[in-house]
This record gives sequence, C-alpha cells and structure tokens, in this order.
Amino acid sequence: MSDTERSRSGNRATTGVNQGTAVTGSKRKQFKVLGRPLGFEHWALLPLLLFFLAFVIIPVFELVRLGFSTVTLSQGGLVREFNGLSNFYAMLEDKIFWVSLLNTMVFVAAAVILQLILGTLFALLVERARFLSGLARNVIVWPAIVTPVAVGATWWLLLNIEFGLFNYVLDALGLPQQTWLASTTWALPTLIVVDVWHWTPVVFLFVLAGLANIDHTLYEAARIDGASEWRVFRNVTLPLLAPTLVVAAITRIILGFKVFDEIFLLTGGGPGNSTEVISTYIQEVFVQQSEFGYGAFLSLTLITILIGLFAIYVLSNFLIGKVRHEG
Amino acid sequence: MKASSNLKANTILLELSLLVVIVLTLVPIVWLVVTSFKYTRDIISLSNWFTFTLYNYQSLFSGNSAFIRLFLNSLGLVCFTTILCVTLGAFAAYSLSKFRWPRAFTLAVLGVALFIQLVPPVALVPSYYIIMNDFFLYDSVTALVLVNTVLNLPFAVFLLKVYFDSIPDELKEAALVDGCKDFGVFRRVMVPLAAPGIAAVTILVAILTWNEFLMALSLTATPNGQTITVGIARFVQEYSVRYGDMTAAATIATIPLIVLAIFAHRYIVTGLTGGAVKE
Repeated sequence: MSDTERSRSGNRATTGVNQGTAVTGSKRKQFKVLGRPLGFEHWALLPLLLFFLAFVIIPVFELVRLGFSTVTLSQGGLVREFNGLSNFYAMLEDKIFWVSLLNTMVFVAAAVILQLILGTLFALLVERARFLSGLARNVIVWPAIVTPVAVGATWWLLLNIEFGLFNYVLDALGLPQQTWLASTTWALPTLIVVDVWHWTPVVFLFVLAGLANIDHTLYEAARIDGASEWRVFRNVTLPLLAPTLVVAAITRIILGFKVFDEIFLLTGGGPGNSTEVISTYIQEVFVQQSEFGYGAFLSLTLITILIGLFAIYVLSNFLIGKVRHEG
Repeated sequence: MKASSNLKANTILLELSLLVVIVLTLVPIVWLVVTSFKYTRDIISLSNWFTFTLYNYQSLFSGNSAFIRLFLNSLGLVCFTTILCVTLGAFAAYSLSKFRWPRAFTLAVLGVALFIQLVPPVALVPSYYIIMNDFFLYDSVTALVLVNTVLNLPFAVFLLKVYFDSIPDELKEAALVDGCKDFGVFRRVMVPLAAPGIAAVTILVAILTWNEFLMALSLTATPNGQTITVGIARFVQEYSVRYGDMTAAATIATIPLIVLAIFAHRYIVTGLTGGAVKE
C-alpha cells in the first residue's frame, strides 16, 4: 500500500519534468506512445518488452498451440495436428504423471519444512555464538551457490554403495550399510536430505535478517518477567519471525517445484518411478520420447497448478488482512 | 558461582553445535575437492591413504578433450548473459521506477516478470526448443544467452527497482535542472547510487548462469553449445562413470563460486534473499 502511494506521489512530481523533456525532444514529437512523445523512458523499457514478447508471450502461445495438438516430426519439420482434448485424456490415464506430481509435493513439503526448522536453528546459533559466528555466517551460505550439478556429483560420491563416505561411516560404527539411492523406499528421502543441505542457507539468511530486526529489549523484558529461554523463543521470537518465515517458505516452495538438476543426475527419476518429479518427467517426455504435444500439455497443467497455488496464497493473504483490519 | 559455570557450559555447547553445523556444511565440498586429486583406483578403494595427483585436471585439459570447449562456452555464456541482463534490467527498472506509466501497464510488465519467476523453466522447454530450431540457433551458445537472459531478467528488474525506488525523486529533478539529459541522469546519478544493487544483480546472475543446467541440456547436442554443467553430467551418465574427470570438472565449477562467497558475501546475501536483506 505504502509502496503504491510512494510511486504515485513520485509520478506526480515527475509530470512537470516530462513536459520539459517533451520540448527538448521536439524533433521526434510526431511519435506518441500512451499520449506522450517517445522519450528516454520508452527506449529504456523497449528491449525488456521485446524480450518478454519473444521469449515469454510467444512461447506461451506456442505452448498452448502444441498442447492441443498431436505433433509429429517429418523431414526435419514439425507437423501440428489439432486433436482437441486427447492430450488431456492421455494425461488422466498417465500414472507416471500423477506419481511425479505426488512425489514433487512430498519432496517440496518435506524439504521446505526441514529447511525452515534447520535454517531458524542455525540463525539462532549464529546470533548467540561469539567465536564461530563470523566464520559460520560466511560458510553456511556456501551450499546455496555451489553448482547444482556439482552438488549432484558430490552426493553421488558420498552415497555410493561400495565406496561412499556414508556407508564407510555406517560400517565404522558397526551399523548395516544402506543402498540409499538404489532403494525405492529411501531414494526420495535421501534426495530430500540433499536438498536440505543445498538450500537451508537461503532460509538461514532470511531468518538471520528477521532476527536482526527484532528489538532486543523485548527479550530482556520477557527474561526479567522470569520466562524460560524456550518461552522467550515460543512467545516473543517466533511470532515476530512469522512474516519472515512465510516469505522464506514461499521463496523455497517456488524454487522447490523447479528442482531438476540433482534429481536428474542422482537418480534420473528411478528406481522405478520412486523419485520422478514433475520437471524430470516433462523433460523426459519431451526430450527422450519426443512427445512434443503431450509434453506441452503437461507444461500447461504445471503452469496452471502453480498459478492456482499462487492465487490462493495472494487471496488468503488479502482475506486475512481484511479480517485483521476489520477486527 | 553455579550460574556462571552454567553459563560457561552453555557457551561451550553453543560454539560446539555451531562447529558441527560448519563441519556438516563443509564435508561434501571438501570431499569433492579432495577426491578430484586422487587416481581412480584410489577413489574406488576403501583405503584411507591416497597418492596426490593432478592427473584428472591434466586429462580434462588435454588436447583431445572437449572440456576446454565447454569451459570457454560457459565463460562466454556468463559474460554475455550478465552484461545483457544487467543492462536491460537496469534501464527497465529505472524506467518503471522513476517515470509515469499507467498503473495497469506497470502491473502487466511486472506480472509477466512474476510469471517467469513462478513457472518452472522446464515448462517452457518445448517452446524454446521449437523457437531455437526455427531460427537455426539450436545447439549454440547464443540460444543459451537469450534464454538465460530472459530467465534472470525478472530478478534483475525486481531487485533494481527496489534500489531505484529508494532514491529520492528530488535528485533526478535537481540533475535535470542542472542541465543533465535523461540518459545523463541515469548514468551519472542513478546508476552510481544504485551501485550496490547492480553489484548484487551482476554477481547473482553470473552465478545462476554459470550453474544453469536444464536449458543447456535441452537446447544443445554437441560441444558447440554445451556448457560445463552438461559436461559434468555426461561424465556421470556414461556407462562407466569417469570419477576422476567428474570430480575435477565439478571442482573447477565450484571453486570460483566459493571464492565469490568469501569475498562478495554481502552481495550474495542481498541477491539470494531477493533484496529482502540489504547489507
């Protein structure tokens, strides 16, 4: 709200200036866009608009066209044949698609919850520690920028059944060795662990910033009142941290649905379809099976689901705000 | 007395837990780097001792290896994408932030940007494949530059708009009164003031482009257009995994990023949190 107000008042302030440039730019006065002569602001935005047109608007139209067609390759060219809803019926009967959708949901939910818990814990530790705080602030961020494919390769080594570090440690502790990614039961949980290692840093950064914004006198007041550390966290820190955690969760959920690299590398969706997620499945349908039309329809379904989820989030936010406002 | 010893125990416990966190974060990275200096026979043996060697790196950069080409492709991709993305993003963000656009128009542009950020890139792979084929760009670095630019533009625009929004409009007016043209105001006043934002965008776009895998995998077929990430994946996927090459290539991809993480920490923090944290 305050943001739009600010930009509106900013606009009012710049109106006079725009009229000024209209006079100096009188040579090109005949071109008018949205009732104004073509000025710096138009040229500045034009490349972005062209990029969006060429690589977002047109691709989405192309996707819709493909999604309702049967596409065949003939003599190097694509032949699209409109087939109504038959891709939709194919999707309804496609067990792998629904399994991959379920796997994605389980993967995202479990990974994001664990990242929120661990990210918060790490941030609390870093905030209180003295000696290792500076080092930890830097090092904990590293996994988030390491090349995802390299993360895949690394965990591929760590989880190797014969010579991986994990089985080596289990063996040294006298525990039975595990098959990790080769097991239909444990492959998905193992990938969740990899994702938690990879992306907890982002939640950590959000929470660290959130903690820095909390007024420390609130803690002292609570402690003077005799509250235990847990009560202080539960009743002071957590409620004040809630908005930060929501933002971190949304960021992670959106990125979670995009997961591809590590899973492609570590399991390729297997064993069976136990780790097939939506991204690996669409890529497989499209690139390996060359089912352009069906792949496009699955893409459209995915886009619809995500926009739906986002709309629910925005709407619920709006409604909660309204209830609070009235209450 | 008892309270103070309790406090001491707490402090030690705290530092120890943090030490565990640091070690757990580092173990996979260190394991990768150490493995890249082993011969394959040492990698697959269970012995604790190994012979240090640069053999894997020599083999990666030997004359008949395609890796050099992939490495140069990745460098070119990162340079061109970053320049294109930051330039277009800065101009667009400034235009949206400091000029009067109809509200619906601004919302439409930001809506498209939000759409790109929301949708998994895999959903656009079919269209991009066809477009790149139509324009004879399939299997080229150019195609990857264009696609990476558009995928990173929303982030650049959103982050830089936050920075431009926080600069008072009065500065722009003062510069105009002093005789600066619009472009001069942008270049001499606004860009320097938004420099931390531009640095954060530059660094994060460079990292994300360097790391990009899905598009490079889907829109290329030969070393003409492939990047280092595709190269690493191919070492894993071949019938006999080439552990040495794989770990050396993954190390080469990772080390520059760690160096950035150490020296450009605050910009990375700003970038990773999408501007929510400005240090």
